[in-house]
Amino acid sequence: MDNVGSMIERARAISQKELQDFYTGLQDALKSQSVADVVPSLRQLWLTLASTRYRGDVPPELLQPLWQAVKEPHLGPVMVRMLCAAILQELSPCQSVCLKGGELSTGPLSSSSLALTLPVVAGVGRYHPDLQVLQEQLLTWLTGAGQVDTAAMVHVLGCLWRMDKYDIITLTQEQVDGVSKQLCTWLTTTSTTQPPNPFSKNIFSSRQLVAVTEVDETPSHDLFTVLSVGQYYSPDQFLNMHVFAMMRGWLQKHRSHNGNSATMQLLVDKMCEYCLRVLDQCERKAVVPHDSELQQVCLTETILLLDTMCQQNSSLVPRVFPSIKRVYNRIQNNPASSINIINILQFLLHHSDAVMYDMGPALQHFFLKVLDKQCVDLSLAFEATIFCLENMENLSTNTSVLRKFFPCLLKVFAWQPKTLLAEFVDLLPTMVSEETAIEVFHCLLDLPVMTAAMETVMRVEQRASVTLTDVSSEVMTESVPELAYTDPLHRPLFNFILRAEGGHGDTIDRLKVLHDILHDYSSLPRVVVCSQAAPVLLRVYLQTVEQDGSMDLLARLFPVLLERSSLLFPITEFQTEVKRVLSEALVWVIQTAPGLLIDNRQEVQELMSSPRNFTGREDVFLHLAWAIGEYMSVTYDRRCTPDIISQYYEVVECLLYELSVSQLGRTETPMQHRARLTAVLMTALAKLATRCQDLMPRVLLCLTKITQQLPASGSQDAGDAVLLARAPILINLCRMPNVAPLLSSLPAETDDNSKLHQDQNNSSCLLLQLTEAVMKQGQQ
Amino acid sequence: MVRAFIIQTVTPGPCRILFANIYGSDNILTDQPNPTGSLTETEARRRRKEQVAAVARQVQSECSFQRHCASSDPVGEEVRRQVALEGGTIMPQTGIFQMARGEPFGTPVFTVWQSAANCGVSLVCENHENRQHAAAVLGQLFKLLRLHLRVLNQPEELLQKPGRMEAILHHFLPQGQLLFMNSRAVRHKEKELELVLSGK
Repeated sequence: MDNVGSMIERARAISQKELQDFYTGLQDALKSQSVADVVPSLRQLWLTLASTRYRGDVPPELLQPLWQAVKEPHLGPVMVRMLCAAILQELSPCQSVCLKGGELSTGPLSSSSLALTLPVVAGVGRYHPDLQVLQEQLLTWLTGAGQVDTAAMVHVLGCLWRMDKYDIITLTQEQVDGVSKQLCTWLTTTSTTQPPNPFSKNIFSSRQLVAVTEVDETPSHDLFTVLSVGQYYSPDQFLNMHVFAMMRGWLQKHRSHNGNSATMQLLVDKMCEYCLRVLDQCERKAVVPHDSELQQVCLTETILLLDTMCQQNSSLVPRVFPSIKRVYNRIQNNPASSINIINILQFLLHHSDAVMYDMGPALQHFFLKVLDKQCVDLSLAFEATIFCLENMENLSTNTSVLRKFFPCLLKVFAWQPKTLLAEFVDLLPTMVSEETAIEVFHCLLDLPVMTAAMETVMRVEQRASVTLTDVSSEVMTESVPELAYTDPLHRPLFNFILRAEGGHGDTIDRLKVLHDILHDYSSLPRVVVCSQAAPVLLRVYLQTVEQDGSMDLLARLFPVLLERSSLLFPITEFQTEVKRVLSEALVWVIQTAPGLLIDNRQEVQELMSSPRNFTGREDVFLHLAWAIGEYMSVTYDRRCTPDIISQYYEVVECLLYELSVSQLGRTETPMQHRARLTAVLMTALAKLATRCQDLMPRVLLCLTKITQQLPASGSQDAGDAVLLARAPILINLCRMPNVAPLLSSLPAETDDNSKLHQDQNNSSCLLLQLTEAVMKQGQQ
Repeated sequence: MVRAFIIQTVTPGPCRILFANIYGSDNILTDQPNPTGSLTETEARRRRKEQVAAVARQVQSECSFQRHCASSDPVGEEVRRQVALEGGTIMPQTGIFQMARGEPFGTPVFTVWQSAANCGVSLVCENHENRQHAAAVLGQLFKLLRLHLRVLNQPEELLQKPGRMEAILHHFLPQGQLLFMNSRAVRHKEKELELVLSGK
């Protein structure tokens, strides 16, 4: 076992007795020594607690010295107090750790004490015994009456906000206003000069006051923000950063639907000013790379803040919109800012109506020029997916982007099939419409192909970007897919599968060629995971079509279902699972529109006329055969003439003979499917014959032959016994041409078929009673 | 504000939590039969640890998938190796995912994670948080971890020195609040941290 594992296991293995001894020993030691003297034991205590979730009953007497040390700086060096705080955090929530009313009211704890104490207190959360008193004290400190210095204010604010955000305490409107007023002050009155070096021992340095600078080193006395740079920072400047960080949460939590109070409005106003200033600051070219990245992050936060504020107060939109637009124009072609393009799109979705701005081109630009080019970037992919999900309704009702750019979105999924599956299960139905359904279907069936194609492109690009020296020959040689991608003959295939926009053709003729080219990549992990996820999406798709699809769509879908059942990317488990899904789909499609069997009889008959198609398509054959038997009848479609029934009969009979009689049929098809399929075929034949009396003699002959052949063939198949039992039943059924149709078919859609046999007014009930009487008489 | 900060092992096998801090409330869905008001402290603590474990398992799974994909791409590995050599720094793997609805903290959350060698760090945040920001802060924290606690080569050191971890979080993720700090502000905080760690 590795070191970490063995340490944890050892810590877990301590017996209850040893543990109690340890606690007692430490407790005693702390009576005479300070915490600084028992550091190794304290570390051991932490590990003992952290290693398992089942310990937590440390005696309060042991915790008290630790809590004291956290509260009182003179009891130990900072690191030791941090260790005590870590132990108390590990134990939290722990009621023994609280600030009693007494402590709070007899003067403020020192700044250094507050810094470590308050996080522990906040961690106790709702288990704190004196929450009301604590709340009031925090507020007193915060609003200036409690003489806490600025350096500690950050911790007070942090504690209060943490408890407010998670509803551990509840602030009254008045209290909220009090805090908001304070936040406003801290945002706007921050000093814009750089303090002297706080780490220097020279406290008498006569240094001139220097202004803070922007990220491009221009000095500035404008409003201080998180993008203002100084050599060192004063506590009020850190407070400013802290307030900015929590502002969005604060505004969202304390938004008022009845119109904001005057204080809140002032805060929003000042915050707006702050945000617009940050937007300006983001245009500057930062000297240090870290600051460039910070600009991107601040841009995100600022856009989100402005969005929140505009949602609460739409009169802000005209003031804010020009700046947003300027930002968009600046970043729309910058790949590093792609996520901010999404944030702007979100802003526009919420507010573009208010300023009569058409965001269509912006959406189009995003999908075609931004997402399509960077769909392998996980953070962008994630953002884009969440954006589409959160605005699903708006985007599908008011725009057509989801239905137009679904290939691009499916590419995003194809690259991250593990991470984004749940999200795409929700998103997929929005991509399916009457026009797009067939194309989406093809895309879903070819998701692993998409992944493999994207792997190809990525590898070709990587190869071009680096000089490969000193690597194995296996790495040096280009793979088959890479060669094909660079070959102009095959490139169009890749271009098709990697397209961003739908509506340019459902699929291509040479799909099989593409499958063959990419076969080498079918074992890559990403491709394999995609092939496992694709059937899940396929089921979602079929559910959507089942609920909302028109008859016309089903008619167009049916032949595609048949065709694609033999044209799937060659991964065995993928093919098996998809075929299972497709065959179930075939059944309910036919159930909904039985006439499709007549319209597509040529395709169906072609499919079923050779058992060579059978391998790997057992489910499809099975379900088709059943459906033929069930639905080829005048009751389901008037056009079902005896001719058509005969045609189907020919095919089914031929197949049945081949399967059960010929040696070829026997060796090619696996045993368990053979028996099942044979049974279904036999039953189907019988049902067909009951509807077309001319076929009766043929079916009797056929069934009799089967019954004779089976025992003679010497096979050990257990299924044969079932067949042998089934055949005579069917033969007898066919010998009763008058009742056979009734008994062999599902009843037509009447109100309640479950009690037909008991309904005295129904002929089947009469029939059964008659049969029973006859049989009883026969037995006597 | 984050819900949790977690450090864990990521290699296949049992997933070990090296350190975890939870910042949110224990109040979960109110339609549960026993709203958390009635959980004892011990139960609440146990539940927190279970929540952390659930996230950690998912991180391990995502990390493992990415590594699997990377290892079957020899050209890509070569590219990454050359980039890392040029830059002289470690390039951690990064990722982001959403937990299943309502899992494990009751409200919709996402997790950003980074990993290198056998160490993974992650931040769990509510859905409306600034994802880019979370990823940036996490990168910052991971850098500090590598600097002050040698997590890549000796992850067990973290189990022996939780005080150092607490100090890092105290300065760079106070009360679970993600801060916007430019390069100089970071440097200022790093100096404060170094003072604290050196025991003054």
